[in-house]
Amino acid sequence: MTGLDWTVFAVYFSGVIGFAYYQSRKNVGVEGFFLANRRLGWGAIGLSVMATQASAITYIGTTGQAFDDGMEFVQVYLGLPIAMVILCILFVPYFFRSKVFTAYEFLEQRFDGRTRALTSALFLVSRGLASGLALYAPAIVLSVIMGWDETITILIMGIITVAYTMMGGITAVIWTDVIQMLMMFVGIGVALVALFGALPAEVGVTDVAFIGGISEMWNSIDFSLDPTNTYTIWSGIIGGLFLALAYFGTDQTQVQRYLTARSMRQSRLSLIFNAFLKVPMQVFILSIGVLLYVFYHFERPPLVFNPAEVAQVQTSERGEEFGALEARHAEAHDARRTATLELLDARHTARDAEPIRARIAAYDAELSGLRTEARDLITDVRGASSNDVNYVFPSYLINYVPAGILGLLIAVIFAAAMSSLDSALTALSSATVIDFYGRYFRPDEDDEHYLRVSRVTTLAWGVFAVGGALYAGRLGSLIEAVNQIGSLFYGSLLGVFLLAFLVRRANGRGAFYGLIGGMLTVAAVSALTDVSWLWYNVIGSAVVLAVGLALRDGPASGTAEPATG
Amino acid sequence: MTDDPRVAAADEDEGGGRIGIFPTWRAVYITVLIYTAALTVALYAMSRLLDHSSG
Repeated sequence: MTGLDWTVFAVYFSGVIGFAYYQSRKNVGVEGFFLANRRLGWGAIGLSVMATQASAITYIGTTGQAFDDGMEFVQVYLGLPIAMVILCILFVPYFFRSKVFTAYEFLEQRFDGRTRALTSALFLVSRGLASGLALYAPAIVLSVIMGWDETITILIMGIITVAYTMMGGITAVIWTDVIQMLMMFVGIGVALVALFGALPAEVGVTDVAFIGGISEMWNSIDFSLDPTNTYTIWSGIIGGLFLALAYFGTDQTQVQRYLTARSMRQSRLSLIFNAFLKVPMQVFILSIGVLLYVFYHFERPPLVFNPAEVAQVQTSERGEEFGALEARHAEAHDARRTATLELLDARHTARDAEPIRARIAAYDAELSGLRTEARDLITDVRGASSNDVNYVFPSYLINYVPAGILGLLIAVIFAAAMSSLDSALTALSSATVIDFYGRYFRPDEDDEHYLRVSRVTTLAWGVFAVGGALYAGRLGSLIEAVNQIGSLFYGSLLGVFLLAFLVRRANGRGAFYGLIGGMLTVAAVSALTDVSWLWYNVIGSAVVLAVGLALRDGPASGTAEPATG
Repeated sequence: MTDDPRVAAADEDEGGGRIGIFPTWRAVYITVLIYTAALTVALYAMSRLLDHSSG
C-alpha cells in the first residue's frame, strides 16, 4: 500500500472513532447503552441491520464465489423480502409491545424461564464462537494477500471495535454501522467502475455480458427440484425465507437493532428498507465476481489464489505435479485470451462468432477443471480442504487496483468485519446482562450498576472474540465445524418463536422439548443425508411446531398480547 | 433518519396515517411481494437472455 492508501485508511478510522464518541454522549443508563433509549429512526437502523449482516467474508467471499460459480447464489436472498414482511406483521408487534431488551426475554413472558435461558444460552454460544471467526477470517486473508501480520490485523480491528462499542454502546454501534455501510456501497461502486476501467479499451458492456454468458455466469435462477442441489429457486424462496426469518427474527444481533426504534412504524420501516435494498446489493456484489471472471480472460490469473497454499504445495514432494498443472493452466489461458480477442473482433465486424464461442467454452471448461485438480492436489498435500474463494477479490485488489482506491477498498473490508463484530458484542452483552446476570444473579441492583456491568461484559466478549480469533489458526478444520453449529439450531429457535406467535395454547413444556427435538432432528438430517443446509431451518421449525402442538395442554401461561398491527 | 427525541412524543405507530407514498401498511407489504416477484422474473430473464453457453 502507498502513502495515499494509508492516508485513506487513517482518515476512515479516525472518522469512525470520532463519530462514535460524538454519538455516545446521548446514551442514558442501561436502556441507552443497549437500546439507544428507543429513539432512533428507520434509516440508521435499516443501514445498521444491513451492515450487521454483511460481514467481511460476505463481501470478499461472495465475489469469489461468483467468480467460480456465477450469479446463482443470489437465489438465497429471494426469500428475504418476504421474511421482512412476515417480521413486520408478526414479530415486530410482539417484541415492541412487550418492551423487552432481548428477543429471549419475550419467551419468558410467553412461556417460561427455562425456555428463555436455553434460547439465550444457545445464542451466546453460537454468536460468541462466530464473533471470533468473523475477525479471524478477514484477518487471515489480508495477512496472506497483503503480507500483514495476522495478530496485528486482528488486534487493530478488535481493539478499535471493542473501544467504541464499550464507550458508546448501541448508539455508537448503529451510527458507525451507518458510516461503514455507506463505505461498503461506495466500495461496491468503485470496484465495479475500476474493473470496467481495467478491461481492454475495445471491450464494451455487451461484450462483458456475452463473455460471461458463455460459461453461464449470469444464470441466476435454477428450477431444479433436487433437494441436494444447494441453490435453486425453491431452496432460495422457501429455505432463504426461513433462514432470513431465523436470523432477523430470533438472533439478538438483529432484533436489538430494531428494538432501538422510537416507534413500531420506524422499526418496520427499517426492515422494509432492507426488503427493497438487500437483493439488488447482492446482485451488485456478485456482479463484481462475474466481472472478475471476464477480466481474467485478458489477464492471466493464478491457478490458485491463496499464495500460502501454493507455497505449501510447491515445497512439498508433489511440487512438480503442481508446476505441471500451472503450465497447462497458463497455456490454456493464453489460448483462451487469443480466442476471446478473436471473438470480440468477430462481434464488432458482424462476422460469425459461433465457432470461436465454442472454442472459448471448451477452454473455460478446461481451466475450471484444472482449478479443481489443483485444489484437490492441495487438499491431499495439506490433509485439509482447500478453498480459495476468499482470496480471489483481495488478490485482484493488491495486484491491479490503483493507489488510493486500494486503501479505500481494504478499509471497506475492515468496515465489514467491524460492523458485524460491534453488533455481536452489544448483543452478547445484552443477553448476558439481561437474560442471566440481572435475571438470576443480581436482580435488584440500580441502573448505574447494570451499566457498569454492561461495559465490562462488552469488554469481556471483545476479549473472548479477539482471543478466539488469535487462537482460530490452530483449530484447522475445526473452524468449519464451529461455523456450522449455528445452522443446526437456528431453525429450531425460529420454531419456538413461531410457536409463541401462532399457537395460542402452546406452553413452555412444548416449546422447551420442541426446541430440543428440533435440534436433534436437524443434527440427524445433517449427519445422515445430503439435504442442502438451506432446508435445515424449515425442518427445525416444523419439528418444534409439531412437538409444541402435540404437547399443548391448556391456555398459554404467559402474558404477551397478540399482535393487531 | 432523524433521531430527535422530541419527535418520539408523537405516536406514529399503527392505525391511521400514510406510510410515505403508501396509503396503508397492507399496500407496503403487497408492494414488497410484487417487487420480489418482479426481481425474480428480471433475474430469470437475465439468465435466459445472457446465456450463451450454446450457439
